[in-house]
Amino acid sequence: VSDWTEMPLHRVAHARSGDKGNRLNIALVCRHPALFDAIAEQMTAECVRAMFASRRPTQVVRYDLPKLHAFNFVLDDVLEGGVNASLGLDGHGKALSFLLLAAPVRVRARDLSLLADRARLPRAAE
Amino acid sequence: LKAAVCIDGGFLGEAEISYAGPNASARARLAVETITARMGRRAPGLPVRADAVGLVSVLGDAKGDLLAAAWDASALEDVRVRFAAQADEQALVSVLLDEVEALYCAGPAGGAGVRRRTTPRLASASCLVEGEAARPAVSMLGGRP
Repeated sequence: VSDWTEMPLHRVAHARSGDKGNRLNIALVCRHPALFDAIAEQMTAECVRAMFASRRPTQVVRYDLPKLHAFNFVLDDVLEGGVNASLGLDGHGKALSFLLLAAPVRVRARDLSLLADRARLPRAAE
Repeated sequence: LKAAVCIDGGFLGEAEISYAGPNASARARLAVETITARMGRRAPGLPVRADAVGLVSVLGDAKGDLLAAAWDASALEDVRVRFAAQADEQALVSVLLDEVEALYCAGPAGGAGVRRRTTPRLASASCLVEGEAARPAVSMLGGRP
């Protein structure tokens, strides 16, 4: 079990979020296909609901997109009225992707080395 | 047809004030408590939101629970406090903006750089309408006929 390391989610995945009314969508994309299963196991809808508890979600659903090694999280009623009604600065919820990316996740050492290999790939010619 | 309906959403009022140097976060916190108390007397029932830029200003909640919990652990020396409210009557929104500006003279020491802004708002909702009821037309606002 010792080959598992805990780290913030942003080390192994990227996210982007946006609004539809008072509903938040967060797209979470694994940085390598091999990470999908481990992240799927840990980033459950229940876990995301707990992370956003201060915004009182009425429903949290995770949609899996394994071919894209990605997830779409849909959180209902977390935008304090949304862009037309929120008193806050971020009515779109665009910064909320980084609340998700702060989650601690456990990652296998061999999956991390895949990420390192990918980082060493030469850039495509411009 | 899917339609988006927009109606008058009243006015959003926002006002900000800065505190810097020793005890800045304690003075910013006192500013939030002061505005909350004064607005409770002058405009009871009007929801007022407070944020502290640099501490909790984006991930916070409208009730302010996250910010209230964050003050104790903070020893910031540069905090910008932001207040916001929305109402149908602009005069009600102005009560908040006036109170924030009044912190210069009747609030925690060293308050600085008040900015205030009022923005008209639209509220919107989606619905369905019968296709036959729609007449395609274009009108230009501010254009010549």
